[in-house]
Amino acid sequence: MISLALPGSDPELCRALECRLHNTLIVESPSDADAVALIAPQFPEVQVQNLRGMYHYQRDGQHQRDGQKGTLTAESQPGLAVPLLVTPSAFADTSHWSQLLRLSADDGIQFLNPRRYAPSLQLIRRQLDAQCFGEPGLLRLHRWQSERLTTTTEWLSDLDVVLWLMGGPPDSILCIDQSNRTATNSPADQNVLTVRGTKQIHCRWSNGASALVDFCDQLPEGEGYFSMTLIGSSGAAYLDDHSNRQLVFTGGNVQTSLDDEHIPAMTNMLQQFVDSVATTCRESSGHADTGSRRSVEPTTQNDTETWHDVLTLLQLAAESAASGTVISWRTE
Amino acid sequence: MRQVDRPLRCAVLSVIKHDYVARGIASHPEFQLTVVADDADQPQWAHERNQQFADEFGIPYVRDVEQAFRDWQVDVAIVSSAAERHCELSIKAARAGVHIVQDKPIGTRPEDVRQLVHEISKTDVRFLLWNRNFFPAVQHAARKVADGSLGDIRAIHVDFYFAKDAGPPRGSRKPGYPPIDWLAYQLGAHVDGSDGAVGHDPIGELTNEGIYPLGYMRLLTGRDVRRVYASTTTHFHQVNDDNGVEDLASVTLEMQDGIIGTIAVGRIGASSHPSGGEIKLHIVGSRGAMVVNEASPDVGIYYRNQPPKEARRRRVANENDLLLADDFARAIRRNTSTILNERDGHHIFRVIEAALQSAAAGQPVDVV
Repeated sequence: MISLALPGSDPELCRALECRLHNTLIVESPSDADAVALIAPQFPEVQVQNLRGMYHYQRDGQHQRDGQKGTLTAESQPGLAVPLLVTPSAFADTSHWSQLLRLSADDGIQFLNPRRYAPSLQLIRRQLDAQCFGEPGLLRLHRWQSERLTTTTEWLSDLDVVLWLMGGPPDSILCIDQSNRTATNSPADQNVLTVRGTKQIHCRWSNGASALVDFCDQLPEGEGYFSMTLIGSSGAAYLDDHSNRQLVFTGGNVQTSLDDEHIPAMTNMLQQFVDSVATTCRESSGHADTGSRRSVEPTTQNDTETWHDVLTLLQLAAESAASGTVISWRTE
Repeated sequence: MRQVDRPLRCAVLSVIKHDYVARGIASHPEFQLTVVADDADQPQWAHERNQQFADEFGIPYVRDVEQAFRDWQVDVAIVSSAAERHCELSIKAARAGVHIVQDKPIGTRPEDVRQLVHEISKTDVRFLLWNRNFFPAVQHAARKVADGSLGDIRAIHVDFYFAKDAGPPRGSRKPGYPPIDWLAYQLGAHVDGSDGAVGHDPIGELTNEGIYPLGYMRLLTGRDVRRVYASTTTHFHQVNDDNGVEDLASVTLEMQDGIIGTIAVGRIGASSHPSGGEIKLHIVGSRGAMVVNEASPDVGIYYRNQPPKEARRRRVANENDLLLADDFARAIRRNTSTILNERDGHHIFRVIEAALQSAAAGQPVDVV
């Protein structure tokens, strides 16, 4: 049994996860945890130099929470760190990127994208791996939200999915920035696509495949929209909020309600994390692996290289939008 | 141009490809199919198809287009020939003062299209390029745009996939076997209606079908495209690969007034969709957005021993053909423009031409 802390998470989500996660005890305090998952960290004030310490909860360390700034800190004590799961929101502040990318599984940190673990995308990935679709030829993605709800995290998560399904980074990128507002607030952000306005990213791969990624933050306040189509040489997948909505009649115009995958996605991601922690514990203690074996694709897990590619794509898109030209992928 | 009170007399010119244009026009009470005509030097298979259509409608087949115009008091020419002859036949009609309804694409060579537009400009004939702008869902979207529900259009995206096969899959030709001949393949595929662009000149899906999504965009935005960036590939079919024409394309469009557009076009194979292909419009405006399933309204039909190729979801209430014919009739009677005229068609042609150049160069290309 692995004790898992989800600091700052919605209590309803925690309750929903309790009955779904195997071999897992959800605990309130990171100090009681064998593993910690930061599934919605919002620490805008965090300093890069403290990153490692901040993201490493210690069993016996000093913990404090700064409610005003939302900053969570801990004294780093090498050797006592617990495994940590960090989701894409950690990359929301571009000034942390280089520091984050230096961290790795060896540090006990896993950077996972919950979007990859959504049952719909798991199914698509399974079919892709089983060669049901043949070679991917065109991936089309729309992400529309209101300005208030649009975050860098959303875009990073989607771009990660694009590269995950298409098998790696493209050879070239053209980004059209309708808002023509590529400049951002801090010097560190100057080469990063802002999450404002409407952006169209067109990726090309050398084998002829392409991706059209449409990000828009211009919806009226309210729910957003997502759709993704993957066209392969022998099959296709269509994932669309349009077809996953239920009709609700409450007088006047009919309303719709979206069937949500959030909890299954979180469950899949956290179970894989817990299982990997349990496996590590058992290996270190010489016991056999008896993980839950929840059905998650082995290729789902991110590594720092995939995040490096995602961040590079975002940067090149910004460069393309600013210059109005096609940018080739740079291998550095 | 002749103004007439009787039904408009139509010459069906070279009805060798799909005959849906002629049938669509014939469905409207203001039109009367009068004669089928083609040039005498056409191959025997073309004459046979023309004769077959003429026999079905009980009208004569004349192997001289100009003579048919003269002898049969023709008001309208319906052109659904091989794509490379579209302009040639339409120019003959324009010069004879005959209104033109023409299948897509508007042409295959830029000089031909320019000449066609020029010839029409010297006359008062009306021109309609066949399109899908009267599909119920597209009209629904057009009403929402027109009534201001979405505000000013900021972006528009169209997926246009035909889930049909086109012979053996790409990569299936064994070493030493000759490449598939385009025309021979198209002639053979005519039997089950899976032929695409019959003719001597191979044309890809973007050239052949790009008119439809670009026609939607023109209807909904009324704006020209300024610059394009495109990717094309032969991803599915050996016949496309052997003839060097794309069967999958994605295009980013920069339009007037800062509108962004994209289209995804492909003949993606019958296995990739249960009902003929996904066709969707995504429209973003300053006040709202809209996602449109072009296939709506439809009905799901499933039953034991259902033929594998039969659509599981069937479109209903589609009056596109009739409404196109009505639009054309109104344009002739009232001397107004059609929903997609020769200038619209020429612009769409230039967009596609620029997209193909962009795909080859890997760079954005201005639409000139």
